[in-house]
This record gives sequence, structure tokens and C-alpha cells, in this order.
Amino acid sequence: MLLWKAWMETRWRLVFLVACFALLWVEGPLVGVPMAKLRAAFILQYATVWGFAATMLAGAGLNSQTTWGMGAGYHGSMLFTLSLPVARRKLFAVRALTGAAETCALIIASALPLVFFAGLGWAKGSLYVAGACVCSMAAYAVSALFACVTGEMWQLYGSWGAIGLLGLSLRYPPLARFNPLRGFSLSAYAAAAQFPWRDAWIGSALLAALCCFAAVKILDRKEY
Amino acid sequence: MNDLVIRTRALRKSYDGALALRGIDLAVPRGSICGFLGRNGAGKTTTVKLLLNLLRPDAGNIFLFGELVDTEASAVAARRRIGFVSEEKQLYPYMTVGQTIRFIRPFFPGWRRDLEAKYLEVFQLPESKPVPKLSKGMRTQLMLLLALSRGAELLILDEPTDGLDPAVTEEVLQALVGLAAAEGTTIFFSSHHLAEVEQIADRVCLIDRGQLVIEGALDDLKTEYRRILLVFSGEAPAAVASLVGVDHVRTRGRTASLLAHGDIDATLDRARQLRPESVEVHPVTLKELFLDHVKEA
Repeated sequence: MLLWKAWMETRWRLVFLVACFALLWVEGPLVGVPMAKLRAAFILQYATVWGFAATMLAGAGLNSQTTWGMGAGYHGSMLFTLSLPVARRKLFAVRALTGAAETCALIIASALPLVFFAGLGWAKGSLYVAGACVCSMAAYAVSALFACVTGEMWQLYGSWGAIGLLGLSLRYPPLARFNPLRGFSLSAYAAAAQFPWRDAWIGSALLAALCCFAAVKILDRKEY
Repeated sequence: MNDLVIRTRALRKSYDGALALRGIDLAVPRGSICGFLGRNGAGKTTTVKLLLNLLRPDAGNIFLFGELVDTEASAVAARRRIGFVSEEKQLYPYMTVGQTIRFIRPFFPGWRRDLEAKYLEVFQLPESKPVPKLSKGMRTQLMLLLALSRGAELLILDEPTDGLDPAVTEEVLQALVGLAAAEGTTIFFSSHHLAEVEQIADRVCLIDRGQLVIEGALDDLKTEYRRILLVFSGEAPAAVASLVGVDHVRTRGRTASLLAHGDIDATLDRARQLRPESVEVHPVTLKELFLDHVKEA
């Protein structure tokens, strides 16, 4: 039932994101802008777009139930959820896994056409899609962590800020090596003779694990 | 201790250094309807949240159903036997009444379909109606249905009738009394509506500034406490304030109003030694008890 609740909480976000991605492949201009231009913009910025998508799907957690409320001290349906005979960690795990699965599904669906157009081939293509999923989990986990401590809007601002910082850190070689954003680079996959972004995968997995660990610790101690 | 559904020992809680609870010792027997009274900010909601493990105490212990609740696992086990209605009465805005019921049902193995059907009918809740379209009264009724149907042994209700019109309030109170009578459910409800507490509670706990100032069976309290009115020929003497057996004193000119408890006859004897012109003894209401205990600075 928690899975169903998590799905109910995220389904419109997912539908919205799927619709946005689907629009890219529609022929003809969209509000006066040629679709080819939009597609080109997406292909240039797909890492950022996927990062944003991940942060959106990581929302709708426990704290977001307090967001659209009547002011300070308002808890929304959060207290109702917390009064259920379910451990906080389980609430978090179900919600986080649902959003992560949706994020991966979205990325796989939108990455496949890119892989196809780039002519990456099955082996490299599937590796690239897997890499995009792993690296997006870093953005997702950062956002999930923010969702444990703030309401909806600050969760988005905070995680977008964190993605911005990751972008900035690309300029510093010691940090750039492990930067999750490097794992999204389609051109690197296309050009490399072998698997190019192992360090970015490791960085992403570590960051995601660290954020999940912090989120669980916060949930354990948090008072509502 | 086993026939106490709720028991707390020296429960303390502070927020940013400000003490919200200063050592609460609660004892709520099985099958009782206990009204938890206090002014706004007295510590009622903090106590309720501590019972549900939404907050953690700074010190002290909580026992629910005779078991110490000090870990997440013990709190989850206790919550399986508890129905809760929060002050805000917010449910999931993306569900209908029916979906909400179907969502909650599997969490409680002792779910009572008969009670679910009964309260759906009593409260006239349309299953297909989305939660955001319910009035506050209907939301409260849905929350009560969810709390009552789960076969809970203990209901914890935080201001259950707040914001409801008198007709709905009466329906809710009757449902609570009916449940306690039919199922033996223990009900612990916070309120600042004294008339409601007096109507359904058989036990009261009065909290003020984070301290429990009165606790006991309502009938016992009414028997134990008396209002003694003394009228003097001149100004009421200061000695009335130090009379043994007197909880609170209010003086105005020649008149002194004493709230006494315990051996009332002995207190009267001591009061008569101050030579008042007249002495009257009256039973006290819950409102008087409340006001006398919370008015003091």
C-alpha cells in the first residue's frame, strides 16, 4: 500500500515529465519554436534536464506534505502518515525507491533515442544508458535528502543549487574526475575506445549512498 | 501497571531551551475516557506527539499498554494498537474517501469492516468524494472512522471537535462514547472545550505550563473539591491564603473565595477561626477547577 501511495504522490510529476520529453519528438513548431531547435537544446542540456527531472521525482515525500499549508507549524498529512504503524525508514525507502525507479524509467526512455541518433551501438549504448541512470541517482539522492528536511520549494531550490555546484566543480580537475555530471557525456561514450567514466560512476554511487545515509540518520532523529 | 494503557514517568521536553513539559506523570486506566485539558501552549500537543513517538523526550519514560516505548520498533508496535486524530485533520489530498479507507485497512490486521460500514453510514461519507472536497467536519469524521474501524485499543485525539459545528460535534462525541461503551476502547483526548470533557470524560488530566496540576476521576474530583465563600465584616484577612487544605484563594474586598480539597470539614473549621460573617460551601464545576488552576501566574 505504501508503494501505491508513493505512486499516487508522484504520478502527475511523472506524467508531466513524460509529456515534456515526448513533446521533443513531435513534428512541427511548438509555440512558434521549431522542434528541431528544442531537440537541439535538449541534446545540449540533457544532463541538466535529467538532473532536474530527478529532483522533481524525489519530491512529494514526507515533508512535502507540509508545503501547501496554512503557515508555520502546519504539518499537512505528515502527522497522519507518521502515526501509521510503519517505521520511518520504511516510509523513506518505499518513497525513494519508487521515485528512483520512475527516474530511471524516464531516463532510459529519453536516452534511447539519443543513443540511436548518436549511432552508439548496443554495447556502448546500453552502457551509456546505465551510466546516465547511475549518475542521475546522485542528483536524485541529493534531492531526496533535501526532501527529508524541507518542504517542496526549498527541496527543489536546494537540489538545483547542489546541481549547480556540481556543474561549477567541473572546473576543478581534482573534483571533476568524480563528478556525476561527467557520466552523462554522450560524446565521451561515442569517442572513447573503452568505458570512459568509471570515476564518475563511483562518484555518483558514493554521493547517492552518502545522501541516503544522511537522510536515514536525519529521519531517525527528526522530531515532527 | 498493566491495567494502565498510558503511563508516563517524569516526562520532560524542551524546545530550544524552553521547557514545554516539566516532568509529567500521566496514568490512564484501560477503558477510561480521559480528557486532557489545558490552555493553548500548555503542552497538550507536545504530550500527544511524545506518546506517538513523533517527538522524543529529553527525559522520562513512556509506557503504552504496559510496554516501555523507547525505540522505533516499540513505537511501531504500539501504533498498531492506537488510533490517532491530529489537530489539523489533514488527509491525503490525492485520494478519495474510499481510497483512503482502502489504503489504511491493510496496516491493521484487526480492521473492523462492520464498524467501517457503520460509521460510513452514520457519518454519511460518500466513498467516491475526493478528500479536498470534504468539509472540515467530514474530514474529522473520516479520520474518526479510520481511527475507530482499525480495532484500536487506544484512541488518541488531539482537539477532535475543534472547528466543528455543534451538530457534528455532538455526533462525534456520541460516536466516542458509543465506542468506549461497546468495545472498551480507551480514549485519551485533548481539548479546551470544558463542556465536552464534562459530557463524556470519566477522567481528567489538567496540564498547565508543562506540569500536570490535576489528575483523577471526574466524579472524585467533584467530590473532593469544594468552593468555600467567606464574607468578612471588614477586608478579608491575608491569613486565608495560608489555610491548610486550600488550593487557591481569590479575595475581593470583604469576600474570599477558596478552592479547597481533601478534608473539607477540617478546612471549614480552620476558616471559621478567622471569624467570617458568613460561610457558604458549593460544589465545583470542571470550569471552576480549570480556571482556578490555570489562572495563577
